[in-house]
Amino acid sequence: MGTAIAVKGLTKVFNGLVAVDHIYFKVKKGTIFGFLGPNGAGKTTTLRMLSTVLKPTVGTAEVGGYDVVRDDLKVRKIIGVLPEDVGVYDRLTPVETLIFQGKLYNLSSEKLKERINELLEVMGLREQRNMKVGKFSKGMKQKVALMRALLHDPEILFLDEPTSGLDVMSAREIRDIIVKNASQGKTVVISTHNMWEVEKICKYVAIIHKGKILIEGKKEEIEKVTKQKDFEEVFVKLVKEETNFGNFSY
Amino acid sequence: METSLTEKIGLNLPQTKILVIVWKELLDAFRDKRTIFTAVLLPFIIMPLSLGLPIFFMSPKSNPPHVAVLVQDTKAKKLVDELGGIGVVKLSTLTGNENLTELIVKNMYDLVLVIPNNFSKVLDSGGTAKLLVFFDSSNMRSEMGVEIINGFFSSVSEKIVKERLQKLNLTEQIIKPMRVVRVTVKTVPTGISFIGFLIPYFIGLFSVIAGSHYAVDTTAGEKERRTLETFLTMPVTRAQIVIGKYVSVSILSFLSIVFQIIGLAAGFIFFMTNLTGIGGVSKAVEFNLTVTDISLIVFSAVLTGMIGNALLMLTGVFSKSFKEAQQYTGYVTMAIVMILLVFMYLPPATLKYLIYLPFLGPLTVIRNIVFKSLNLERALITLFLNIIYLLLMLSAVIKLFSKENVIFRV
Repeated sequence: MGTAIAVKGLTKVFNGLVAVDHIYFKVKKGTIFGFLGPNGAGKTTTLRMLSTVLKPTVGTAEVGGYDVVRDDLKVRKIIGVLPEDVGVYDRLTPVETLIFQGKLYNLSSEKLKERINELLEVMGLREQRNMKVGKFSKGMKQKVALMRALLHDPEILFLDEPTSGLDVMSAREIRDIIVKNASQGKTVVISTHNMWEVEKICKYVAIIHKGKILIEGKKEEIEKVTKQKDFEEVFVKLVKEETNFGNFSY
Repeated sequence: METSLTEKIGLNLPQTKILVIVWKELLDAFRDKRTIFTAVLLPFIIMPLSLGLPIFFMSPKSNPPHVAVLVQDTKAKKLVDELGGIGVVKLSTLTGNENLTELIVKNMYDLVLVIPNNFSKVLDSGGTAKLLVFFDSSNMRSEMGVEIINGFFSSVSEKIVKERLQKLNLTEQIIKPMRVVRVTVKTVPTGISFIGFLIPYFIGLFSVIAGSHYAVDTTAGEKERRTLETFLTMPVTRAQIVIGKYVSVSILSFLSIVFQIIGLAAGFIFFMTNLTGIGGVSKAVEFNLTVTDISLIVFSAVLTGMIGNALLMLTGVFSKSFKEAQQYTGYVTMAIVMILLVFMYLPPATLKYLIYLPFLGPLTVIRNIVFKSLNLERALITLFLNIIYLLLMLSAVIKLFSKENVIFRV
């Protein structure tokens, strides 16, 4: 299994404040990688650097073999992003949103129509295709944002809190879609607070705290090394003690 | 499944990223009620009304002052009939039992004119007959009525003076030893000089008003709604995003400007010609413009609008929220209005320096065309310079849009 993402000493400083501090990790192709950390730990900043929205202050990262700074446009072509704030256009319909996105990814009209119908079906939004997104519930908006991330069939998905604030049914639907995509060979990086979600769907995990990676590796290995029975305990122990166990996969 | 027209257009767009961005931006804008308000409602209804209504209320023809006349001298009745005949005052006759001051204070009349009983007698004896006018200086219509009464009796006075002089075998020259003769060296009629000042003023003003809402919405608004981040993860450059947004702002502002011009023209024609009859302003003015003149006016107006839009985009990109951007654009508009007011009253000798300035340069070209004092070579230099200014401003917008601390400013 090859490497989809390789992060080497990635650092981001905002006005003298270190948000991400020399982090290293790797994500294997076709896996779901859980990126955990308390609020303000540096998860979103890291995802923003990997999705080329922010430039690293120091360090490099390769996404799909492309450098996030030098080859930013190439990186953007192979990634799908679901940001923390879903950021959907309220005055557009889901179909218009997808046409806009698809055209920017150079999808042909035929391919675009096919993908839109496919995704509307999968997400259960066929009936709402001509409704303005502004009238949607939070869960439906999240689905539109996820459709947008999946539209161009990207190799790598960056999902920032994909089930945050959703009801049980919507969260489950979104999780199922994520797992299905990973099983089709896509690499998924999820930033989340939800330990149960991590237990359930992630194979590899990294815990970030105060901009530093405390531990990174296979979920089971982490539980073994930290001598904790579940991931919530692992998380609490590491964040409380700020113990740095390092990387197992790097 | 049925595809809507907007979807069909979107699906059939060529794979030109800027065009795709323009399509999405226009779609987003046309569904925003505020865009409809600023682009259609404001120019077609509010703009003509806000300009036309004050004119309507201030015009004596459409809204004549109500004058109460107390004629104590029955011989002067003919004179009162003549006053009523000019059609710019509404006359009512008093009996003499009324409290004249109260009539004004209680706003029953705009003014009261009293023609004393010795009026004709004094006139016939060659003396100066007095007329009394009671008015309220805080009432504009009252002030206007005084002017009308003054004007009417001045012309009657002149006639009487002429008759008195004739009786004495004297000519008017005896009381007019001097006269100022106006010789204009410009060939433009009065109507044009008025419009010549107004056209650049309105083009300048519209260029910052028309696109302001949308320029703010597409930049600061998108930041505030958190839709920008996803946009930045798509395979488009920051320059493509800025240009796509800028083109859509320009399209919307030009549409709005066209609507505003139509609305203004309709307002002026309707209120000033049909209702007020102020001929000096609204009468047909022959411009005698050549194709080159018209092309230069259109190009200069478009360029001014484009510079205005770039300035608004710069403000919008810099702002962290819609509210903050609206505040900044408010200041920009105020500054532009002040500059334009100064520009309107600047002596022609200073215009030669203004042609090198951004924004004011193309407006000077328009002013020179209207006043028939265009130097084509200088005009082309002005327009060329302003294209450079525009490109510099756009690159500043792109640069600002590429700055993380500006885009993610909270």
